Amino acid sequence: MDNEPQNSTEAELIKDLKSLPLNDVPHDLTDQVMARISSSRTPLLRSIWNYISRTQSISFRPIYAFSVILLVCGAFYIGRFSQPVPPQVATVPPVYSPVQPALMETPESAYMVGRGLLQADGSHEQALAFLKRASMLDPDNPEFAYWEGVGYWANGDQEQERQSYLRGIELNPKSIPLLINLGHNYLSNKRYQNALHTYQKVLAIAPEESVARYNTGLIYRVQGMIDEEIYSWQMFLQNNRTGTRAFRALQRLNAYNDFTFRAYTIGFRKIIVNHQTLLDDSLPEQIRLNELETIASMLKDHTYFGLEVVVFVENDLEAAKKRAIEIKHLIKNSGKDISDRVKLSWFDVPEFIQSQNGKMEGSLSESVLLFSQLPVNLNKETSI
Amino acid sequence: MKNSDDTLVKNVLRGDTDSFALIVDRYKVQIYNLMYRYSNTSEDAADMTQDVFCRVFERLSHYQHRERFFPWLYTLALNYAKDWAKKKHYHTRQLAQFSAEERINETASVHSALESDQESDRIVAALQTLTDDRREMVLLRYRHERSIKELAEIFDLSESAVKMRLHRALGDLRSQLKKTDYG
Repeated sequence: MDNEPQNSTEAELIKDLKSLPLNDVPHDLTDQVMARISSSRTPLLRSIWNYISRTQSISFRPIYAFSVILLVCGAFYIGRFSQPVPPQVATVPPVYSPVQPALMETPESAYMVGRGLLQADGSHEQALAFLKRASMLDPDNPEFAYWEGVGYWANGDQEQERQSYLRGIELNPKSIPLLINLGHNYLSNKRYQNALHTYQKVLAIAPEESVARYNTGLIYRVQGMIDEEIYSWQMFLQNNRTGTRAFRALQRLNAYNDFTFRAYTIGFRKIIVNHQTLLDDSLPEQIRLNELETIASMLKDHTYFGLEVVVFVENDLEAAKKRAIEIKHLIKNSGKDISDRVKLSWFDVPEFIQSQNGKMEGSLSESVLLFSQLPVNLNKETSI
Repeated sequence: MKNSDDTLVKNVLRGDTDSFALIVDRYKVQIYNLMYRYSNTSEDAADMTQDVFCRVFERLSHYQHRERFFPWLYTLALNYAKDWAKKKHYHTRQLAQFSAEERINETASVHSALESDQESDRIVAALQTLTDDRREMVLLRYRHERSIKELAEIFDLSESAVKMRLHRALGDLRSQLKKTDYG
């Protein structure tokens, strides 16, 4: 470590800096990175680019460099004497004259310019001027009201932003983009009831709308409405199984001892499965099979790992065995030739579930645990 | 004994992709926290960290073993964060959702911890008054305990210039904290 001169106040400040808290990294970050890496294949063009852009070792002989310079100079002089030199004409540089919003006669053109400027760096004020002009020329167009709102938002004027969305919603009460942005506006301003009401309108029109569903869960969470929050996470996870938000929803759900959904580690990935569906043998086979589809596909793609299926049914070994065989049967019916790599275990005790930090989270009298067994050479030791 | 960065990189380049997971584990805290400082949301910070490591994986063949791995990685991450910050205004209104979530997390934090965190909060607030590069320099040096040499490589400065800037940054921090009765 290098040392710099320090006086006592500086040393005290450095001590405080050293103990600054760090943000916790999401527990699945490494898995997510590895999943992305393993799923992306290098395209041919990228491989070529990688090859030509990487540093290559070359042998250098001055005579070659001298020859090349001589050749270039020769070509230059030959060209100079054989080609007539074009007359040089002085040109006036074009004068940049920005279009003024007031000069825009049609709302569509003002709208297009406004949206274009919104994408440009540092032109948000100008963009808003055009978007306002479009809205003024055609006040009955909800799309223009929407983008006017976005323009206000980009300029940090949340009050005017809200007014634009409200005007747009009057014109088209079922516009999902308008309702969602209005909900976000309310949520940003901690007007939770308004936000909730707005998101509920979105969900009444489009029950699978993920952002509205997720934010509804957040609002219930901050208001301490646990049952509603749990329901929101369940509904969110029903249609969203990947991404940080899905894992965050799952974490919150499981923290309430609700294991309707669970994450299983398969290879380098964590797969979210509707555990309840997997257990429910009254459901049609196809629905239960859908839950295993991703895992089955992964096993098919990665022939080097197997799948362990562990079933727990408290005080009923026969039922546990039956369920384990049933799951293997489901995997077999997925149409992928992987069932020979599926190993079964069953127990007549409840499954005890631990959190990330090793603390006990709860127990399940009936459950299924899935995980993959990596070959020994993939589990490398990193330290001794 | 831990494998060195260079050994891990060599393993990855030889086709042992799993070694990359060790690189991610080794540096994810620094990179995630860097991304958090630029995005202020855990959601974006996680996505950005993933992007950075994926880029690092793609560009690993460009890494020269003559240089140190951490400065190379951090420079790439810093450039990514700066580009992201430039573009963040393009993002749609969805950002509101995440910033709202951060506030919710704040309110859910344990009250007893708030008292002890007050001093940290003041320092974090003071750090925000520094320029991005100065703030990163201070945090890398003191929070993540990286060497002056590494900082010089990351910020493309001489070691004496790094020391001078750190000294000035600490001075700025002190005077900023004095305004709120530090020390």
